[in-house]
Amino acid sequence: MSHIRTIIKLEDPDLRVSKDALMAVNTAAETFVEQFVQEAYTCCAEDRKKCLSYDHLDFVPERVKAEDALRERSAAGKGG
Amino acid sequence: MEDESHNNILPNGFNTGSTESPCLKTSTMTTQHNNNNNHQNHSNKEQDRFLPIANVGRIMKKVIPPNGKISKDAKETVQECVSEFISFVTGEASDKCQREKRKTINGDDVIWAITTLGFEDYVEPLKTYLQKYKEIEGEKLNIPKQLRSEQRLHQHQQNHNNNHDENNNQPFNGAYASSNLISQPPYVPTDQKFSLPFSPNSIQNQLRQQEQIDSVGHWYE
Repeated sequence: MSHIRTIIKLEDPDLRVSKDALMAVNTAAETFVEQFVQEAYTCCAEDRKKCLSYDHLDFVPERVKAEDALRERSAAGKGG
Repeated sequence: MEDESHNNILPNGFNTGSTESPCLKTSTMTTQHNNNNNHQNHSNKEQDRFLPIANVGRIMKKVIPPNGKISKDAKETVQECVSEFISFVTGEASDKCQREKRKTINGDDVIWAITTLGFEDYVEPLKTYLQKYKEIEGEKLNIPKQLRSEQRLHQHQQNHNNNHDENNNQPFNGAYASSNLISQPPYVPTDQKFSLPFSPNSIQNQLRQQEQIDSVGHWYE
């Protein structure tokens, strides 16, 4: 609970959060993880793998190195 | 007068006028130490942004089969996603509070934000959960702390009294219970004088006779 409060305070330090709001966010976050992992594990099963890895989280954008992203961006800028 | 370059040569032959002074060394060491501290603080700040990875891993393991495994990479990604989700929902709830000129986010604001952001599936279980939580909190709030402590004390005393009564009602069957001992007639002291096998006068007579014996044991004649 304290971690959730910290994350919320990082967004807006002046914001006040009631106990029931913290409980709601906590439960929602847990449900989110469960649903997220269930969908990811479905991809994992289709791939016939037992280990859930980053690649199975296909709804998360792929990791790109900063220099590659900048290179692509500059190339797109020149092309446009 | 000639200008002499003072190299500060000590009697033992060491030259103190070196370009790299020991003070500089210590200062560089302290800056390195500070950099390390800054790095640690930075990593702590980084960790504050996320929920503990162990907790996230535990929730993830709940969903997948027992023989399934989760890579560290996946755990870290989900950890980041959860934090983003929390910020996302809270941000929306915060905007609603600002529009309504309120300073505190409550549970209903969170539910509204979740519905708005397209997580309608979560709403029903959340409402049930919040309802139960409010009931429990309400029970706690309705009874003042002092009254609650008095009730506890009263209950504790009642339990103690009940236990005490049970102990009194039960017959005591210990090893040294009076029922287990052999019944004996009570001792009554009497002033009965026992007859001695000799008279006190005879002893005194014997003592007088012994006075006539010398140290060697011969009788005086």
